[in-house]
Amino acid sequence: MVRKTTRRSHSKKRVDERLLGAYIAIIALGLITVYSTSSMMAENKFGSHTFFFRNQFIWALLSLAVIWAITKIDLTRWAVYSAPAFIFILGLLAMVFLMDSRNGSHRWLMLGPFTIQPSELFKSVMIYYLAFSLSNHEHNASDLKQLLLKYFPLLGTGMLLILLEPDLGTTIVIFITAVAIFFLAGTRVKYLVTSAIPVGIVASILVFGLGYKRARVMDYIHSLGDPLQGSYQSAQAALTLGAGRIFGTGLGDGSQKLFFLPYPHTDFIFAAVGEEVGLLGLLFLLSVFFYILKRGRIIAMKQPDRFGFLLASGMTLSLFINIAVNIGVVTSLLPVTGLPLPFISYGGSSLLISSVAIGVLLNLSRRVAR
Amino acid sequence: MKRTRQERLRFGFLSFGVVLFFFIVVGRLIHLQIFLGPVYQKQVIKQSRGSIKIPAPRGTIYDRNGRILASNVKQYSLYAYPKSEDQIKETAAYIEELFHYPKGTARKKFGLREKKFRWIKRGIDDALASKIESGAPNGLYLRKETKREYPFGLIGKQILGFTDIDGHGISGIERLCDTLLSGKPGVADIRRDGKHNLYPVNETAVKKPVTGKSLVLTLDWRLQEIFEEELRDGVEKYNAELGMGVFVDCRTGEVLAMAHYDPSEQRPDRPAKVCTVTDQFEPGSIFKVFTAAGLLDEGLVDFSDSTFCENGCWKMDRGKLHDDKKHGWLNFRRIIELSSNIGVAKYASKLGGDKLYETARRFGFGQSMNTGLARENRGSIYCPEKWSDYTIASLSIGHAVAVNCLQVAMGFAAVANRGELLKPQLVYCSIDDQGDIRDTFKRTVIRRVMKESSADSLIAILRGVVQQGTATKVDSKAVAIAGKTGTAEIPDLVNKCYFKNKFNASFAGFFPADDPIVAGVIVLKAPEPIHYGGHTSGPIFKNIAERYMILNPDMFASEQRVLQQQGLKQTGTVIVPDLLGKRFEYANKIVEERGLELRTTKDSGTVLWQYPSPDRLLFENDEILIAVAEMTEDPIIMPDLRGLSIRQASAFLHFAGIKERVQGSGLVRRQSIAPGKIITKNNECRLECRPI
Repeated sequence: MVRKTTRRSHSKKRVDERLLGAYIAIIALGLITVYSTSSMMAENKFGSHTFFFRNQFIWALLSLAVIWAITKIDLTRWAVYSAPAFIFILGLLAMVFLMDSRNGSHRWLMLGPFTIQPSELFKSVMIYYLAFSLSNHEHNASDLKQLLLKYFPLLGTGMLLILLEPDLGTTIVIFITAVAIFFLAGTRVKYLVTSAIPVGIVASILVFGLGYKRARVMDYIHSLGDPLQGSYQSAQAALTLGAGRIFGTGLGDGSQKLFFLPYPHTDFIFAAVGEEVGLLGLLFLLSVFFYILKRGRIIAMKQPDRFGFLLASGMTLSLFINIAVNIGVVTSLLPVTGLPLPFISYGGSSLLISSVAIGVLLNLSRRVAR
Repeated sequence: MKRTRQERLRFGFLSFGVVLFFFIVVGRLIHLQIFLGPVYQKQVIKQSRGSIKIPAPRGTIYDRNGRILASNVKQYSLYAYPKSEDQIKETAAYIEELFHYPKGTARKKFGLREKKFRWIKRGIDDALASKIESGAPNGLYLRKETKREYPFGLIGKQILGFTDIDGHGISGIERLCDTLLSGKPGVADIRRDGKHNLYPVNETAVKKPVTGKSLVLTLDWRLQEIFEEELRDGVEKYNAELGMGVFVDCRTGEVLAMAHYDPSEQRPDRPAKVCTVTDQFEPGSIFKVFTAAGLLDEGLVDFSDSTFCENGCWKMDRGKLHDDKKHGWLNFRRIIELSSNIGVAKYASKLGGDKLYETARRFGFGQSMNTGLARENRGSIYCPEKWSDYTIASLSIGHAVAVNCLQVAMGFAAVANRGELLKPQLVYCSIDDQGDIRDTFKRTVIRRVMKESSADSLIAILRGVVQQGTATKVDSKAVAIAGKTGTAEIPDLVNKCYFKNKFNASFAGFFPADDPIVAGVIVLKAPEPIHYGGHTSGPIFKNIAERYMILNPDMFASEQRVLQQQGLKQTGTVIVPDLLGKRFEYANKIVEERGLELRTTKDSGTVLWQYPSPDRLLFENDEILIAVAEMTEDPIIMPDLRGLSIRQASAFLHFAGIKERVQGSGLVRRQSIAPGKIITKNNECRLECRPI
């Protein structure tokens, strides 16, 4: 069935220009906000106020090139390699533990001058693999035996490795993404709910029994009432957002990024931007996000086959989950976990992986009859 | 391929979740940014903004002629604020290299520690500062500060005083008028970051600093310069331990110059005191003037009567009184002229203790002059109740009483101005940052100390002292000086007696005798081998008087010529050339050669008029005002009169045939006919003047 659709997918249809436009818009916004929130720190640390901006700009150009390349390849033809690729990534995840730890965690794999986060790769490849696997064997998604003997061990191993890095945030994002894909593929809700039970138990034991990140969770619980009662980070984030009020202080004029708000150009960029552009600016940013997700949904719904549908919706949902977790943390709706805001936060690999998702969506948009 | 129903339903469910999330986030943002916003904003402002004081520039100090005596200059100071161990090491190494300290000492010497502020060096010159700016490692920074600068260096330093490194007055006028001079610091908003760094980048002044008020002193720095030079020369010439003196304008009480010179002073740039008000001494014979004033006022002097002066030794109940030379019968005039102790003492016994005490008190002895200068000494004079005849005799000749220089000067000024004791003034006025003049001093008469008629007699006697008395060395052909010499034994405080061969040699007087302007006193402590006031302090006084007169030709118009004919010439003075009838270019050349400057109506034509007139004396770089016109009925153009004295300006207006109307006094500040306008006859020019 996949073979049959290959021909059609290779027609000379154009990519979804609206999604491309929205993507370029958000990349531009990201560059502006990275400059605005990082210039002081860059000046302070590296003696050049454009230090972070320059890096991000190069990564943006690289991302565009990657997107272009992805739109040119035949995703269905390469899908057969997703299973071995998935296994390979699992190997990389294991290798991470052989590396020196950075900031007390093993997240990075250093290959000469490059550092990659296998967990980010894992997320993308997982979606690709699941889309392929669940569309190829339509009944896998509802076959309990398959679920328990094939997907659970594979995905479980990956998530466990990531959890042990330790990177709880990414693990949760991957878990939710995986659940969402199974949900779309037709897995019975009963099974999915059941799968959440052991995770919940393990998490509760970890947090309340062993005290892992207990303070953070307690902070979160406190912050639900009054955001300032939470951890320093979430309190500063809430203050930063609040200080922006409706119109903001103006680009570049925020004061919270000056070492009050931690990671103002990466994980907490949404707050730093919120101080400078205010509620109105954030609503604009959110609407661009929303538009991208909407285009993702349209592309997914119009896919000619189940593989395309699962892949497009998986990519869209993973973007959404990243956005949702990041913004949820910044607005003190979720406990603090270090995840970048796609397209906006400073950081090459985050930008690249998010762009890959867009590239895949653009690629799939070419298969859509318009 | 169409989506199956299940796919649509499930995707719809997830989409609903996405939309729901966006609604929640927007709601949360509204909660945070609209409802909590105002409170949060305040908190953010509180944690990220602060205020720092902006130091106010200190006021300038001018002398009475508008010369700048103290002003501010920018300077840099170096401080360390290392943020890490590495920075401490780098900083220390840099400092060691820069200031040539031995290796490894800087850290301990300056106590460098992480995140601790340490001054390294304050007051760095610009060259070093720019070197540091380009080469200093992180952790070492420059701060811009203002430093007090005294363009005249050590001249008048004692009375001017100095400030500490933070700009607070420590001594002298700087301390006396510290509140006026220091102004009010401003407040600036600054941004602070989470690491306690301050960002002056966004510095905006909320409250601008108010510049301190500028002061115009009554002191005349030209006189101060001459005075200090002569005093120093005198102290060295006569081997004195200390020399000091005060000159005042006897008509107004303005102090014109005051200084002391101590050859052994360790830090002349950091004078601790103004000896002329802080140091007391026994005045000796100069005090006889005040005894005489009391006698004259009481009408106890018969000028035709003579008194026997005991041939130089008069035995009294408790001791002997000596004269320096043996005198027989002398009248009152000669007693003062020759300074006979015995003669004065005999007269004083007629006056009696109470009256003598009262006279001395009236002249201000034993009382503070309230100059406000630090550690002002009011001197001492004992109550007459316990006095013996000997004590009365001692007091009448200036012993058993302690005074300071300023008191003596003000006392002589009172005699010179025919009987009014004036409050000494150091500050003429203050000028605020708008240029408005405040707190102009008022001539304050403390009290009348003697009758005008007695003062006139006394002035005549004191003129006699110089002409045919003990101070013949002081007699000047240029200026009529009147005064009194004093040679007083110095008390030995350790052995409670007087030193055998240590004397205070003094001369106090005023000039010109016929219409006194300046009164002053010079005291030399323990000059050797000559110890007579008339031979040491007197000549110093004379030199100063003559030189001061040359500097102020307007003040001493008649004496001017005499001096010039004598060929006395002052260094740094220039005789005004005759420019009348010369072409402008030529006149300009002459003036330049003599080191003077020209102020002119226009720069071509023939010189029709000049001020000052030829053969007068001017200082180098002084200005000559000329009127230039083409010989062919050229209209005269209004020159810039601002900054000239009224005398100069009105001389020009008179020449140009313009009526003048003068408002105020002092220097011309505004003129109603603008410079450059063509003058027609019968114009009226209004001159607004301000004193300086």
